[in-house]
Amino acid sequence: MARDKSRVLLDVKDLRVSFDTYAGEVQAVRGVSFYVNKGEALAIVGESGCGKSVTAQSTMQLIPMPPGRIKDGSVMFNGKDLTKLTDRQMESVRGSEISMIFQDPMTSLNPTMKVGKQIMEGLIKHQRMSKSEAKKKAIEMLDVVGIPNPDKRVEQYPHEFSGGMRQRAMIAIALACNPKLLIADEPTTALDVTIQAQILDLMKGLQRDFDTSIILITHDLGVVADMAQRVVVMYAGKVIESGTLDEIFYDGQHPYTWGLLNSVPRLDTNAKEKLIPIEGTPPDLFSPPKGCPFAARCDYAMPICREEMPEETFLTEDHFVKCWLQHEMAPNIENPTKIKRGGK
Amino acid sequence: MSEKNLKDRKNLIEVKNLKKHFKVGRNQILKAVDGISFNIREGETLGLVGESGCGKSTTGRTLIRLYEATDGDVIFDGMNIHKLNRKEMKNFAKQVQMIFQDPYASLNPRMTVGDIIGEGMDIHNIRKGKERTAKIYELLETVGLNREHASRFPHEFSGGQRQRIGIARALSIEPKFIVCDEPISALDVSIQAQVVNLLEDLQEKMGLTYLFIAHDLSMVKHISDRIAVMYLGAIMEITTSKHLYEEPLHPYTQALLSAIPIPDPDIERSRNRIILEGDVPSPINPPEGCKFQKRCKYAKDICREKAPELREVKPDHFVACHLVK
Amino acid sequence: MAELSKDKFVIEGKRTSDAESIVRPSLTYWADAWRRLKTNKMAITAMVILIIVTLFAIFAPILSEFDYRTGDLLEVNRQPDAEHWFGTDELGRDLYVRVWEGTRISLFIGIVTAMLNFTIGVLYGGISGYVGGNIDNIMMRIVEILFSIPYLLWVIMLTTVMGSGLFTIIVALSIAGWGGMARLVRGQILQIKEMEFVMAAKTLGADAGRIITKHLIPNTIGVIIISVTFAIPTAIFAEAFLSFIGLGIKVPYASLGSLSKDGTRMLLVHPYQLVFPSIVISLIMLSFQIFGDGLRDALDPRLRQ
Repeated sequence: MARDKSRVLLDVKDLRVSFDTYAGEVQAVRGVSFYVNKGEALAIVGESGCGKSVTAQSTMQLIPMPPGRIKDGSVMFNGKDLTKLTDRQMESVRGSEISMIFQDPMTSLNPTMKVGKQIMEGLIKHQRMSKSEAKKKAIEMLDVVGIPNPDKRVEQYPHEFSGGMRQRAMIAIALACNPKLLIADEPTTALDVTIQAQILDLMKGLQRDFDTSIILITHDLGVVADMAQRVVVMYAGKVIESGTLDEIFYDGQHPYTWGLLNSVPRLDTNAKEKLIPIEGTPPDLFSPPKGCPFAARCDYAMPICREEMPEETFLTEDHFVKCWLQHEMAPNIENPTKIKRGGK
Repeated sequence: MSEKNLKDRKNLIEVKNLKKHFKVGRNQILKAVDGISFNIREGETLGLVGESGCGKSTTGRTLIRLYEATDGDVIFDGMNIHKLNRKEMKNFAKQVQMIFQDPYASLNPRMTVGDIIGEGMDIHNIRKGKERTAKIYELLETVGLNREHASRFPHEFSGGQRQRIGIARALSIEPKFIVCDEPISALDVSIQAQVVNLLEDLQEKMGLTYLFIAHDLSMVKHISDRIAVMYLGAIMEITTSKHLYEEPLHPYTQALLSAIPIPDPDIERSRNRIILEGDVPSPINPPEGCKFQKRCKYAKDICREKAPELREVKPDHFVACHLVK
Repeated sequence: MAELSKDKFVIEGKRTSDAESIVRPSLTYWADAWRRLKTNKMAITAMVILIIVTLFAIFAPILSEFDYRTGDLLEVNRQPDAEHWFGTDELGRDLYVRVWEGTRISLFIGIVTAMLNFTIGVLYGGISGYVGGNIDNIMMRIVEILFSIPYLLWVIMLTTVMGSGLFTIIVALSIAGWGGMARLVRGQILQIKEMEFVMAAKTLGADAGRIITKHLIPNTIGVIIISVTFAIPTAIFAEAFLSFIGLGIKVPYASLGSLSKDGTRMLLVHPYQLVFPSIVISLIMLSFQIFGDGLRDALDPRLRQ
């Protein structure tokens, strides 16, 4: 696979993360590989518990250890393997080269510290700015993320900000040091739709203007269609399909990808059709099933699926899927309710 | 599901000028619900949408008298709910139920799933002993779980499974009307469809009436026959879900629809979004006149002076906006 | 891939029953708490010590040939030896029996006071929190007023009315102590009663009694138990202090406090008379503290995973 190595910013290979609990080992991430190009937005989608958040947190070495531990794999970022860095070295990467924004803007800001000061912290630490320089930059950042009266707002505390404003402030903190990669873990899930539209608009603008790469973790496929260039679909701690946005939405190959797309009602279609849910519940990763983890919920499961995990099949340079239906002996199955290009 | 013929059905619930105000602090009043009127017909699903803080959950709770109304009436099947005495209330409680938003907080962590589902029957002395157990098993199977789950505790289940347990609990006393208070907001998309399908099946089988509260317009549009859009304690627009999507008349409804991302890359690329400026104002100090005027790009002088009435501009299409002819 | 045969590629479809099954072992709240407590070595050691001390307090005086009240004037102030394990006091009474008898009374005071605090506190706090509004306001003001009077004052007042003794101490300590429990329970109830499962019970038509007993109390019980565990040593220590300053248990009865007080008088000549009761009281206090801490880690739902 000849993909342009020089454009790759982050390359995660065979990442395995487990948590030790009372009942035994929970294998949250089971051999995940993906990459992010410079200036690109990659979406990681999947249901809760599929390991998408743990993957992102492990990339930044943010999972609590113990109970968590990174068992295997590498996270290459700009030529460094982040899993091999010491805590001290990692601290200088976090916030300056990679930043993260979280789902809950209420708890991810420090309530006892002025918003301006929280933006300045990183600037003073990583970019060795003086206090007055940092403050000027903080005001500038608040302006960039669209907070009105930024010179007044820097002096305010988080509780004086509304939910949407806090998420903007979080983005301002994350982007202050001009990171190369922004990890957004469900950045709009806690927000109302009109505010979500504001934030997505803002993130797209920032990606364009600053050439920041984004990893967007979400379960909202609408947000994915709006924001991302490439998509990684995760299920039960594994990547089961990956490709460009159009490849996943219009030419998805995994029955789980079909299921995800089919279970969302379309605002723009009128027929009052029954939704097609994915029946059942994802497997408990305390004892992941043998074979393909989706087999128990898959309409097209075959005996082989319950025995062995399928290998990757590449359809294009970027698009691969792990499914036995790709095997030459398997029957030819088409997505029954494919979205046609251009909708309707 | 085909479009139901709802025009000639009788009203199960009539809400007249309902108000619910909360005291906050010393002298401030939070007008969560500020004079709303609507009705729900027998067997239909009325969707209630709006952003957080618009009063949609308070409406649902005041409707079944979990909160006492500050003013106004709720007529359910001929009874004025806020005037019932204690005994009549217990009887009313058998006819209405609620499904809650947070699948983690809505089940008592110290009770087994069987006891959670059986509680309604215990309270109303409906079934005892073997009959009760049989009913619990039947309900578990109705919502797609199995009887082994009855002896388990809530924390052993996933969010979607818990939400189905919540539905089984609501069904246990065979109500006529269920308030679904954001029942899918906390769930994954694939699981949302399971719950919504279940609710639709149950409605068909048991002739239930729903008030479906949510902030996700695409799911509300799917499940509802009619939709009411709320903003800051007032209803902005009520109409059939078809009309609402094809012909949204209120500027707020238009912005709300436009803000929803559609899971189709081609459409997203070609879409021009209406992005509303600013945040929802505080319901403690709502703007004068039309509640939406501060964020409305069409706002005129009259909007700042007088609150618009909800009026029928087309058959079955009500809008509260001065500018809609 | 020669071993893959055609029949492995026949579509069977989903097995939803597999997808709904729960693979983790079932754990009730109590089993889970016990599992966590077991891993805490310190807490388990403390619990074992408390059990041993209690067993001694119950059985040692019964099994011994000596009586805690009658002394042998020929055997005054004897050092510990094979016959009198803890020695004898200035009246020739066997200290081994007196220490365990004292432990028994101290534990009795601790447990009875804690139970009274528990009962009154849970009822009062439960009602106050559940009813809320003005009634809650008034009830909490009353607690504050009671709380502002130090327990020493209660003891002195009650002693003048009822005379001194075991009963007076228990009443005084209970009056002064239940307020804390009431506040704790009220706080918990206020928090839990807003939760959706309580609202669900109300929607089902549950009355106040059912909501309190089935929903509110079971969800506060962990915090209540922890608080009771800490209330016992507090009461024991309070009694010891009262006895030490001469307001407590009267002769010929003994408590660990009164024994320590007698011991201090002989400190320079016969130090063992202070050492034994002090060791026992310290052991009890320490064990209750460590056990209580362990219990808190085990029961506190916020730390549950």
